[in-house]
Amino acid sequence: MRFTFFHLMPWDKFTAAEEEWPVKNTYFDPIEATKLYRLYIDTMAYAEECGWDGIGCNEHHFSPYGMMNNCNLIGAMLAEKTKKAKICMFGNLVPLLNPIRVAEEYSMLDVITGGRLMTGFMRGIPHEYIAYNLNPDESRSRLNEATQLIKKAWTEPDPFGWEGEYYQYRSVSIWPRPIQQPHPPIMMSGGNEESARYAARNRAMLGINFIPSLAKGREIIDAYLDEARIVGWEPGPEHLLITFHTCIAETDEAAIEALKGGVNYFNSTLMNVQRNAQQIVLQKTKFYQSEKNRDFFVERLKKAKSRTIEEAIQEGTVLCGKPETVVKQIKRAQAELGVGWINTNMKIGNIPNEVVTKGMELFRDFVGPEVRGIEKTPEPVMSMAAE
Amino acid sequence: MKFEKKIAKLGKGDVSYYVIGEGSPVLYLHGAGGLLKSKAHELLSANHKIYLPVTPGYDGTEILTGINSMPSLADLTADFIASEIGEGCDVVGHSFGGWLACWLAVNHPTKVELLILEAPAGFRPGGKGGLDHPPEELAKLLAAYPEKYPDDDRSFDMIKNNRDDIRLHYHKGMPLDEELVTRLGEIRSSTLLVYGTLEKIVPIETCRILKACIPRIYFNYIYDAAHTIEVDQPERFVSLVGEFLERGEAFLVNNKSGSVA
Repeated sequence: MRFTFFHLMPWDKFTAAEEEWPVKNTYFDPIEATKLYRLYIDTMAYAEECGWDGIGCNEHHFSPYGMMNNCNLIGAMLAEKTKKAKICMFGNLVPLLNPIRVAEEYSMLDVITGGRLMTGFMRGIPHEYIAYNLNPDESRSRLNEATQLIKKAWTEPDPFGWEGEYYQYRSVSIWPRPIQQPHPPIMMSGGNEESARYAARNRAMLGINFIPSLAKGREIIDAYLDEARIVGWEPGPEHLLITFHTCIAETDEAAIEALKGGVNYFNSTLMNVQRNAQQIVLQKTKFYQSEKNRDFFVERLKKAKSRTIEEAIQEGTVLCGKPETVVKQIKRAQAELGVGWINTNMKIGNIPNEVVTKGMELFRDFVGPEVRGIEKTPEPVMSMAAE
Repeated sequence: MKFEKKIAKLGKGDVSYYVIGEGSPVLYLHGAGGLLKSKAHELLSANHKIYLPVTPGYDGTEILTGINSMPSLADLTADFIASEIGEGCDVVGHSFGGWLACWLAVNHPTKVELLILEAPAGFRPGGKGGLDHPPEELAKLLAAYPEKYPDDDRSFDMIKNNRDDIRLHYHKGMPLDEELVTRLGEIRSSTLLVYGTLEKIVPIETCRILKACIPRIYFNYIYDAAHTIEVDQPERFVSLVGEFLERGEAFLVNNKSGSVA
């Protein structure tokens, strides 16, 4: 079993939940943020000391939801502060970006870290398309083309040009090229069965998060495994990652209490400001190609908002409690889902940073030693056979 | 604009050809399936006069005595240029036609100005790829979007005969033309190599060989195209090839307003 420590880098002092996305940036205090960045980066680096196998972050725009509009910058700092942990970019919002730039920055990180990079090729959440003024209808086709282009940029031995639907380049030969061969591990989001199948067709790792139940997580994973077999490969646990809100404290009660506060801020403040922009994209575009997937996304958000922590614990969709409790929860998730990676998100909303640090130390001392051996998870190796 | 059918009276015999468009001349050499007059030709013809000879023996035409190898076919093609076009011209060759275009560029360098190789045959080390597949499977390998095939007045049997028999008359099914490989370094034309991201007939090793051997060559992927690039992605093909034909090596430099995403 392997673990990654994920950080959204939220702005945890936001008080104007009635605001709309994009949130006006007079609420952002750059002086305070300097301290916050330092704290967050130190916390992430500390995860390596506490036994996490990887440290992850991702990209968001224009709101207090997360302070990383380019997570690769944070990745570069983590590369310098760590020795062996995977640097997990979960990930770049590939359809919104220049794919050659993504290929280059990821390659730099891979080389700087001596091959510790895990990459994420994410489509993003709906309203991010407003931020960079791209048509959400094109999100899937842009992701598809950009993914193929980036893989070519990583693996093509000769300079090459690209004449595509969205991207045209006359001559590409990136320096540096990646150290991991044929290329660094790629993770794609498995928010629903459609995207899980897409990840399988790309021979990417599957990353699932915010599942409404373990049973739904199982359905998504089954779709991924099924599609992988159709296209001729067999994923192992090393290709499966699930993200959990995670809160570990001395007692179950203390953990629940802390998580309640953090989740409340997360749902009612950080998520709340996105609601209108998100709805416009969902209702007026084909970001989701099927109504089923759109409805699933909306229902998942609603359920996350209305569900109590106790219900979430019961359903196995959070890790929360004293170390012994969390060990049981991890074992349950692994048994039901067969995942090799668990991605723990511990800085949820405005949960106090001291609580996060304490939880990390409890993980180091009591959780990690109990669960690390549940499932022997090899390194994920990528294959080009699906090209 | 319409394709006009003509006959070239050459020393070795008659060669049928089509011509379309106005502008600087471009010679188009077809693949092993014969001449498929495509949307790409029509689009290119807006700025170019495209000459599309039918290789003797293909599409129901007569094989010419003494024209029984790729070099001899290149000689005939040079005669065609001299007779119908003039001193020299830009040359586009698809698959079998790309192979032929290489021989033309090697043996008749003054006849070839810019050279465009579109998934060229003849450079398949170890026999990788190729056309030897059952018809249904081959159809899938040739085009990712068969529904985009233009209307074609040729019969299925005629096209099959082109692929199964006529091409062998010229190269005996040789997967790798080793003699030509040793001479690719003689090609002096600026060369554009185009290759579909879904290509399965011509292996990627072909591109490696050509990149290594031809001194001034630019390698470009056409996204979401299989072997018949012009069928799958005619607009992308013409956008790229048209730029190269218009600006030569300066096609590397973007001269359009706007930006990449």
